[in-house]
Amino acid sequence: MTARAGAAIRIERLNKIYGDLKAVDDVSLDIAAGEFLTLLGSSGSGKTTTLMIVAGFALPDSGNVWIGDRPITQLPPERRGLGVVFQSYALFPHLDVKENIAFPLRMRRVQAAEIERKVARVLELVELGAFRDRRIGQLSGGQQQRVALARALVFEPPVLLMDEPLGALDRKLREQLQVEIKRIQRDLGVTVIYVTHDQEEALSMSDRIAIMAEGRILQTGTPDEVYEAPHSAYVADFLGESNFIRGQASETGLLARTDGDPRCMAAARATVAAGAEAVGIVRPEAIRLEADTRGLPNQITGEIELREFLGADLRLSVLTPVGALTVRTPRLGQHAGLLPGARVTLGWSAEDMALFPADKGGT
Amino acid sequence: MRNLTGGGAWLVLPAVLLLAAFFLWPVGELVARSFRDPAGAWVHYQRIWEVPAYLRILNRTLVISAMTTVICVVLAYPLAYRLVTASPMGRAVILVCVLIPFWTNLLVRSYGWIIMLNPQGVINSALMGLGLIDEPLRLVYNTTGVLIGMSQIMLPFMILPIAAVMARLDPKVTHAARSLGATPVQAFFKVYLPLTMPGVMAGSVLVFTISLGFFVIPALLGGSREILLAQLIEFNINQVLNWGLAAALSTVLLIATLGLYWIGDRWFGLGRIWGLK
Ligand SMILES: Nc1ncnc2c1ncn2[C@@H]1O[C@H](COP(=O)(O)OP(=O)(O)OP(=O)(O)O)[C@@H](O)[C@H]1O
Ligand SMILES: [Mg+2]
Repeated sequence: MTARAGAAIRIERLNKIYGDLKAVDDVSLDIAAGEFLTLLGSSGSGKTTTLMIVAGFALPDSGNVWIGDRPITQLPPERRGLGVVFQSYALFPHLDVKENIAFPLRMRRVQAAEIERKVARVLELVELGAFRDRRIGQLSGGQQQRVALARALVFEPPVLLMDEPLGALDRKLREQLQVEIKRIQRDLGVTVIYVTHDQEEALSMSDRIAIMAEGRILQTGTPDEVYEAPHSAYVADFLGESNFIRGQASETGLLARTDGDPRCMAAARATVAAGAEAVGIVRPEAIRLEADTRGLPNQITGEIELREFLGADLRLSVLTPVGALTVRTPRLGQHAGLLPGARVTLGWSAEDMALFPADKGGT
Repeated sequence: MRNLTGGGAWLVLPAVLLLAAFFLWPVGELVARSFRDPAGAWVHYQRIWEVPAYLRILNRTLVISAMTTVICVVLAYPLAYRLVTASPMGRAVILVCVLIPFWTNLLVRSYGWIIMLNPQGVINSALMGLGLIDEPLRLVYNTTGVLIGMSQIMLPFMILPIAAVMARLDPKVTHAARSLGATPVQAFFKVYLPLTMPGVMAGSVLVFTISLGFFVIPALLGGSREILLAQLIEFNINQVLNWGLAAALSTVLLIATLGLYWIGDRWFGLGRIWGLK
């Protein structure tokens, strides 16, 4: 496998309707050559449908797909030349490992000696050299996954499409293969569209993430961007943990609803007009405790309800006038007294609270 | 469950007793009788081997069974594919069409075919009426009639195992083949067909072995000069009263059937397809 550049992919205004369901709703994406882009979304959000349109197994009702400057929307799958890895692996159980991997080369009438060489090389790449003559049924899930990867890479496609390739594996194996897939992708320079509903997987592997819901792309950005600066309450909720504080937008932030008078809070990022119903979002790890809250514009006291031990971190659930807030704080330090029943002061900066219109989903 | 049935062995006892009394014992008796001739244990078998007419009948039986099997494969494979890819409604329609003849009495069906196929029958009248043929086709009382009748009866035995294998096949494997550069035709021959072959083999063994012993269809739809093995056995029992020879012929048939079933089970996983393993 020579290191060769992947191809850019352009997806333009794809639509796919099943009955009265918009499975893919006006999806556009520009993916650079060699980029690792993940489609992330909950079940039924249209990730697989989008990927299958790119692979050629579903025709869009409208829209186009280009690989490089070649339009491929109307081509049958076998003429697109893309590598595809399916969640179920879809290996050929009647062929052994090397014949599975040789399949795309045989379809391309590659010479026998060349096939031998390429299969050996890709087997080495996925570290399966010793399993060359095994039957598929004699492989573990992780090994089958590697065979599927090798088979999709052996003909040196410029683009690799993967639909939840690690979905069926246990956590440890999954993390190991994540690293390996990333390494292979970087070495080969192949462009990847990766589908998952596992946010950690998406955050750790991707150059960019496109977050999908109900057939639409809500936000596209680097893992840092989508995590740090979600464009909507939905994205904030979907990626990682978030606290939702409801109220009305004001000139400077949020008038948070309580049992009594509303509390005035400062928020830096606001996409809401003053006076409208709004929700303020704060990450659990952005909330400071006790002495650390000094000088912060948003402060509130409450009673600890729950204390969870998470190894390096503590997670507290604190009942405050604006509702229960989750706090995540390093376990080491001065927090020995953080026990259920104790009263604590919480605080966060204006930069750490983002404001969104309340009607856009949320909790 | 285990405790409830006390191991469950007694649940199969009635069936085992019934099988022993009405199947294993008579069959054993039959096999034993074929060796019990005063002139020597092997005389009947020697005769089968030496008389050309017997070998011809044996040969014809094998050929007709093989042809029935091939016809069934050709008809059943696409039907099974439609069956597993159809909507639930379509599936029900196909299943009913395949199985209704199955629920009809064999004699009724055979006479039905005679009505359809005889020289003045529906098919010949229609073809002549359309001017497609000048003389009636000879469709019954010959090999053609036997093949038509047997194929129809055997079709479900072929469709069901093939459909069972197709239904279990991950539809993504043909997608994978296409993504790897195979045209639809290549994907079919390189992936779909080999992976559904066990179903074809299982159905074939079944159809072939059942066809070997078929009596009613060849007797009613076949020609009187082209008899098959089961008719020969019946002839020896009812007409010439040579029970020893009939027993020997039956033993040959039994061994052929068991042998084929063993091959089918061993190499093509017949038992697995019926869900026994
Ligand atoms: N062939 C089809 N016919 C009808 N509806 C379909 C078809 N394929 C997908 N859908 C519907 O389109 C929507 C999107 O499906 P899709 O498989 O793309 O979701 P997904 O994001 O991949 O979900 P998951 O994470 O569960 O795999 C779903 O509501 C699904 O039921
Ligand atoms: Mg999916």
